[in-house]
Amino acid sequence: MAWRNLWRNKRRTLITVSSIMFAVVAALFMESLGQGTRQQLLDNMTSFQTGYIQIQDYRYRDEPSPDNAFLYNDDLEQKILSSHENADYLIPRVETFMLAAGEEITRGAMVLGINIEKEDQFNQLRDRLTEGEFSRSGQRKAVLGEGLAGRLNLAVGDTLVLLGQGRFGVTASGLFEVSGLIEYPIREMDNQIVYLSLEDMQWMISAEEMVTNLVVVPEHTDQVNQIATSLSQTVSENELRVLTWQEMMPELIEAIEFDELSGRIMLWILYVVIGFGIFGTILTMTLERRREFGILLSVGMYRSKLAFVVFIETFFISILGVLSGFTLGSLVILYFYINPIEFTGDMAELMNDFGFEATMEVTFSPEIYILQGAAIFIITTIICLYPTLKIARMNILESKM
Amino acid sequence: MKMLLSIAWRNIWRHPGRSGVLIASIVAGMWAGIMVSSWANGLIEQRVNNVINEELTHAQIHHPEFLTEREPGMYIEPHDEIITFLETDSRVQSYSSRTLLDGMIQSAATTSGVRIFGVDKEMERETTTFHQNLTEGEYLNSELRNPVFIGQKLINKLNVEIGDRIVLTFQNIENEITSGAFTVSGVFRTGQNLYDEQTVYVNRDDLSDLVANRPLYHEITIMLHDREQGEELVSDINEEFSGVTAETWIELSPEMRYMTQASGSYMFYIMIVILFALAFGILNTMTMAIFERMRELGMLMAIGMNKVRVFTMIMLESVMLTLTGAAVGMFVGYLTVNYFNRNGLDLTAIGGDSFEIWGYGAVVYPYINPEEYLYVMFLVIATALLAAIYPALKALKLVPGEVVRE
Repeated sequence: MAWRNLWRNKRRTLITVSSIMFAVVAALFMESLGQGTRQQLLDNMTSFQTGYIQIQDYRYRDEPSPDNAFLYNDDLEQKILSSHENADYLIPRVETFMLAAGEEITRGAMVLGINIEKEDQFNQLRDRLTEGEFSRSGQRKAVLGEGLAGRLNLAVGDTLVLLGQGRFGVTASGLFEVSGLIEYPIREMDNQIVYLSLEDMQWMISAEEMVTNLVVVPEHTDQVNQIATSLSQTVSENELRVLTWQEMMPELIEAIEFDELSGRIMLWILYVVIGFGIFGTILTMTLERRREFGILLSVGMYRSKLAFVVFIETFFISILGVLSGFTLGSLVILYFYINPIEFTGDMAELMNDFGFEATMEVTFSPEIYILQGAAIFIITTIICLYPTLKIARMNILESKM
Repeated sequence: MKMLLSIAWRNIWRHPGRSGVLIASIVAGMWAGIMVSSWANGLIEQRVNNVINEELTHAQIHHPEFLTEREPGMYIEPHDEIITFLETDSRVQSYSSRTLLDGMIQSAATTSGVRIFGVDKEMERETTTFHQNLTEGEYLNSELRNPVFIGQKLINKLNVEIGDRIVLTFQNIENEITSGAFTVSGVFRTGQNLYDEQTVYVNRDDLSDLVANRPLYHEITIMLHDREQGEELVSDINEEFSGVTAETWIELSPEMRYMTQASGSYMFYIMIVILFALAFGILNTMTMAIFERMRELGMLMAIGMNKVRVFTMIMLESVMLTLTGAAVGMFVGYLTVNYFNRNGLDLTAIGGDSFEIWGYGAVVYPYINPEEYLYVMFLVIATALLAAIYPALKALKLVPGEVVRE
């Protein structure tokens, strides 16, 4: 009977279904946009700095010095990659702080020994070059942040002096030819970064075959924690420790959580608006059908039964609404997934400066569908208690008028 | 027209339930709009104020090339003249002169890059709230020789404790490498990891003695009574003095501009989604109401009311409903914003844990400007009326004969 009632007045059903449908679309879109922006932030930040997973000596985190570097060779690489199919590739890095000098001026510098092919694959480091090139290993060449080069008065072709501490107190120093300049949007980085090839760096600080950080790039970002757990078992015998981005950048987690919280408040505000929208349609529907209900009651239908029938009806409507909302919502999200919202003007310029794409992305996630579908369904069900209660308290004589 | 008005008015109150729920949706829409805007405002304001009060301040003066080159020799030459100027200017609340250097910090365990702030303890305390970040020890203990105030992350990295010695190495103004031993006096934590890892504060005089054997200032930071007067003051200073550049906080911090703008555009899309939800809520309720009133409308048409008048009547009803809803919504929104503005919205209550992120504190104080009220009201009213057009058009398509007979 409930099912037939629905189709007896198609127009009414369609309107109610559509009001729920649009509510679902709005909630889905808002959450997808929120999660998309958060994911984008995370991707940007990790590719910029630490990566999603790193392997370090277990002492390195408390005392980041070359003394706490660890042996990295083909054996270790094979061991990690062969036991973890979902780890895509590894990026070895040696990182330490040294003094950098030009002809006259001396500055502190963050010196990184890198494998340029892998770095480039990971975060398109070459795109940041403003002049020159990264050289092949063993050529004793360096790439500098533009800010640092400016301070040291160095240009491509000039000689850079590096001086600092190598492994176990050995003095480390070297002369390098500047082969390129790189631009970093963060002033602090731009003013102190020096890139060397991994081999040159290892030679300079007397740490052959050693690295301080090993970035593990997962095939999919949602596997990070799973890979990290099994990795720590693999490498634990080497006195190594596996860190995820959550441990390396706690302030980023906080930022993301904050954003999530802010998004949740927005979502609650949206629910209020949606709730009143749906309530409006359901209320109007109940008013419209007062006469019909009155007749049914006066010909002897039990109130409880009628209330139940109406409840089932609204139940069907909710399901139809949520399902059609999923369909339309998917289309909308898909559209924005393929054509992300693009920023313009000042904002776009700023984001480009930071090396981020000037877009706002949406994400597809089954979780959002389940959560938002359920939320709207619950809201609708609560609202639908209204006609049910109304029937229970209806005055038969008045309603027929 | 007058008749239509009174019919429309009466129509609204003939169905208090239905009209009530329409008004309620508009109230909800209006309230939501006000909440979203005030929330965004509160967030941005808090972020900006935190950074300004802590270190950035409203305006800063440097040697024109100091910020890009950071050479010790690029100090402010007319320092004393500028101070006299600031002392007499009524817009200035307080100021502080700093000696800034980039260098290295060394402990027995390791070496690290560091930015050294040489400050006058008293002047700095009047100008910024940085001293409130103290977590351990004392800000700059005057009983110690060469005290240093150091970031939480850095002190862990260096593996030292309060009372231990560290060595700061930097270039002096003749570009010679100079070192000085300092004693750890206190530890701070700002919530920004990078800052906590790369910053130390020392006494200005200790530092300038090492760099130049005489007072030397690289930066003057200024707090104003009113933030808005920043640009005015800055241009006055730039005109008055040569060899220095004054800048406001907006020019000094591109990151801050990014943050405020990003937050703004995210809110813009949320507003669109909310207006969209509002529009469909109203559209559906109105359409439903029109179908319910078929008979009534048909009757009106049958006794000779023309289509334009029917349309006008329905639109008038919508206008009145919308205006009532907007007014009530504005009031409710005003009360809510006011409440939270006074008491603050404590995020830890919702999210738990500490929220000292990117300079955000845990408690947000939403607020809204009068013109934003107008803006939100305009958006909500426009949305509501646009959503009412379709149902009203639908009513025009009625064939009086058929509907009345049903």
